[in-house]
Amino acid sequence: MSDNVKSALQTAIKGLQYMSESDEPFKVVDWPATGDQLTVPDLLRLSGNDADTPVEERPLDKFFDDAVSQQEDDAAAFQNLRTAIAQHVSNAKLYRVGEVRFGIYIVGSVGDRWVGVKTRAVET
Amino acid sequence: MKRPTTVRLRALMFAILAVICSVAVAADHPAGDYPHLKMGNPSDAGDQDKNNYLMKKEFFALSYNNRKGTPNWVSWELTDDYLGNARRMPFKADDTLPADFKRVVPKDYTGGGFDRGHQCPHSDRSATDEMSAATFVMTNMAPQSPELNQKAWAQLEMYCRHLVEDDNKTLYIVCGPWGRGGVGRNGPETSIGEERKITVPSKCWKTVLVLDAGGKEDDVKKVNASTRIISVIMPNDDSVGQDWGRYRRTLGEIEDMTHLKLFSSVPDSTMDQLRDVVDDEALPEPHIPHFGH
Repeated sequence: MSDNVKSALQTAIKGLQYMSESDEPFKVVDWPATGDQLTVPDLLRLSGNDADTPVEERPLDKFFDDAVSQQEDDAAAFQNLRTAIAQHVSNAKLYRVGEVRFGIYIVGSVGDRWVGVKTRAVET
Repeated sequence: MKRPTTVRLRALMFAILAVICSVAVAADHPAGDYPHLKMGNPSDAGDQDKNNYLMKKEFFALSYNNRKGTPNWVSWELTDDYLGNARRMPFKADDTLPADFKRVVPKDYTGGGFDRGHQCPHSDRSATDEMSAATFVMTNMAPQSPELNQKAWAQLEMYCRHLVEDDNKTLYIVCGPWGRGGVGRNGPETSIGEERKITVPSKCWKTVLVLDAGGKEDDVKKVNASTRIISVIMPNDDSVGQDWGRYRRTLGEIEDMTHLKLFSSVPDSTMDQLRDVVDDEALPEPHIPHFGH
């Protein structure tokens, strides 16, 4: 099941870059689920970040609204990604990991896996 | 018969509009007290030269260089009235540039290997969403290496806000890109963007005049031979590191390099005593951000 979802997400992120002070591609993430809810310690461990890295949850809708308004040329691609996540990923949430240089994770559950996409942002 | 009346009516309306506008401006800044050039216009920028084009914005001033696609300098005052928690806004082209200027759009930086480096930082204009949005125009950007933008340059920006928030200071800040050719994510580069319209600087400089907060209207007069001025010149490459203090230089070195006259509202007799001083104040232990990935 997660394979189908992964391929749908791969298609949606192909060539797409997320704009902040830098421009960063997206990647698909696919981790074994660690419980009912993805906890911050699990997120940091699974993403390979140090255990004491700051993590903040942010509204997912706002991420897509801002991306669409800033990257008008990519608006359709962001809408596709938004739809793919809404269709295939349950309870998707957005986590920002770090300071100044952020890992941005949009992750939810697909069967017994945590699945979603990640990108990066620079905010000095 | 009809036409003169219309003309007169129009003239009257313009007169009323002018009065309304001048009152609106006066509410913000008393006439002649535009805050962001109080310490001077470093290149005598005006409206004639497209490569030294003055933009007096509400929240900062700059001289724009159409050939380089970046500012020559950006100048602003910093007090705690400008500081808050406003969110970041989308980057956008500066639609206030005249139509015959090259138009730099956010995407011109995509793939170039350099960050969209705010000159007047978002966090220095974070009291309201309007202020924050104003800093995201592309005329306020220069291509800065990730190493510069995310490390020493950001650390100096944080130190400036620390002086305002914790030490009760008012700052007059001028900064800009200089030269041609930096080292970004993809190695050395001299220009980026569609038709390579944006010059990658080789250095970025900044100078900060530090005064005690309060009584802003007398700030030019407050500058004296012991006034603190922090001046830095940083390389736009991959060697920068977090320690901004080691890039401190004299104001004179920036002036010699850029051919700008900085803080020219201050009498020469005073500036002559400040120009060749390197700031050597002890710096607090910096907060090194925890990068994520």
